[in-house]
Amino acid sequence: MNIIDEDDKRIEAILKADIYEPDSYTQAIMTALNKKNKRKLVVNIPKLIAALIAGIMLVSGFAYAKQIEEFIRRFFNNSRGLDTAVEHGYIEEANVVFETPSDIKVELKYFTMDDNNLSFILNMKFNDDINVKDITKILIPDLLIADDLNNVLYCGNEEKIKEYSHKNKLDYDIEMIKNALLNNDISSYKKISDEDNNILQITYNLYSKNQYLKLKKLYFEFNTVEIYLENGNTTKIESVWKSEINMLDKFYNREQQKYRVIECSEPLMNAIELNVYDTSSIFELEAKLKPYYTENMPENIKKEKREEFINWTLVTPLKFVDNVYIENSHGEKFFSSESSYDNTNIEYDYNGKFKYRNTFDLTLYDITDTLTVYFTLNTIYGSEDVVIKLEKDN
Amino acid sequence: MRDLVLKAQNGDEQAFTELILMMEHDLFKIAKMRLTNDADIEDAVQDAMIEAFKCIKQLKDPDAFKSWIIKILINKCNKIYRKKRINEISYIEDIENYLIQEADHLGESDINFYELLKCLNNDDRMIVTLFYLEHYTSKEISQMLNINENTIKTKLARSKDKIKTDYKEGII
Repeated sequence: MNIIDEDDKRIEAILKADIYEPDSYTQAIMTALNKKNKRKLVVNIPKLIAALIAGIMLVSGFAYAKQIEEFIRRFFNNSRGLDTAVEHGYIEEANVVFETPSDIKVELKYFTMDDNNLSFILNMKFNDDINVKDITKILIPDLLIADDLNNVLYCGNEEKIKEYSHKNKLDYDIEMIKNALLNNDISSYKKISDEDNNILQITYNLYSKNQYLKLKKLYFEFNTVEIYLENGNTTKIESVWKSEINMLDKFYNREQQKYRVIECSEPLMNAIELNVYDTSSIFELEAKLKPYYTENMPENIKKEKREEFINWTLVTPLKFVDNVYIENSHGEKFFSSESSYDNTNIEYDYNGKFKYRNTFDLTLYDITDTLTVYFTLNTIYGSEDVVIKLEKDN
Repeated sequence: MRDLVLKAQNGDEQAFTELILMMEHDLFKIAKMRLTNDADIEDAVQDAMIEAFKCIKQLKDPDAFKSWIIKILINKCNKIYRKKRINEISYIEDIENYLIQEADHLGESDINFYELLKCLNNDDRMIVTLFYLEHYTSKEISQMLNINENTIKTKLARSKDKIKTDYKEGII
């Protein structure tokens, strides 16, 4: 089929015409080009500013006290696991005010964390120069969160990490950057604006690929607030905002429940682990599946098979494991958590090496003595339904 | 492009940068075929670039660089797409929302572009783009998407008819 007639020409013209690309796209390209040898360093900065448009308007005097859980649920509603934890009181109403000389007053309103998730709500109160009604987006590009041992848990800005390291006489190296940036993902946030009090409320949900340690304190600081207004103007306010929060016992002494396998329908599966936390659970497994070629095959056949395999994986990367869920003995099903993009890892190669890791909405408040994991395993050889039964490992 | 790819394979970062800058607009459009949210598109393109940079030495045919990075990008887009479990209805709704939210920035060419996306289904959008924007043959698209070549030809012909009909009806 060649491009020959007027219709073809018109379709080509439509697709080739310049289309609008947001400024953040160019920035993302430049950031990745600058940092490509260190992997993606500005992790989801666009997401930081992404979801601040469609907010829920609050009338003054809304029922904080009456329905606090319902109120908080609306912030965290991207994660069923987090909602469950909040419903069971696994949240702190912190009300910690940030120290700042700025006119923008910030309060850490609510807070919760476990080994994998760290979520909090900030209230930002503006002076009369800025009306929250006019704000379409807001960005805190250099927000830094550290523990009482000066470990940086999260920071969205490399310069800020450098500055913090220098100030606290820490070794500034790639490990620190990895911990602060690469191993964290801001998964989502939403906005509620309280127009009467000119307050904007922002939720941060952070997910760590490493486990968060049990901490006594957390420090928050930032120097920049970028405000995007409806009229197209952008205001950048620079100052210092700092606060710290003491960990409540429920966060410091948090527990996890491990499960062990009692039955697996696929004998090649091994190294199966399920750990359940307050806000989520992590399921991992490894397997040595049937390889797509063997070493004793001729080189040209091996090459052909490798290419075949690569072509196959390019179009089916996330179908290796499909329809996955965990079921408790009450018949309740828990699916892969939507709170983060980076919570899934699936590896499958032509040697048959298979690895899978995923986060689920199953929490400590949902578990029963036995749990069952169901999924469809799709390999180059075909599909297979896998059932894994687990029990509490005490 | 071949020279730049060879330089990039020898570790020349500037050459890699030039390659990406030559393709950045096409990469955006290709990702837009699968994803509607700009932040997701940025993530997918960033990830594809980083993977391409890391693996460029393994690319045996320098002339295949463009199709190779497009394959990687489609893979990254698919990953995000499946994570978000976007279905066809929500894609269309997302496009509608995008048009409303970005109304101030969009011109006639944008509207035509998005109307064209809306009239095609998920696979067809990608096939049409690879064919008309990148001028890949049915055979090449078949290899990139792992879809039978005859199916590609059929889908292209049907898509063209659909676009033609919508054009006649004034939709595009």
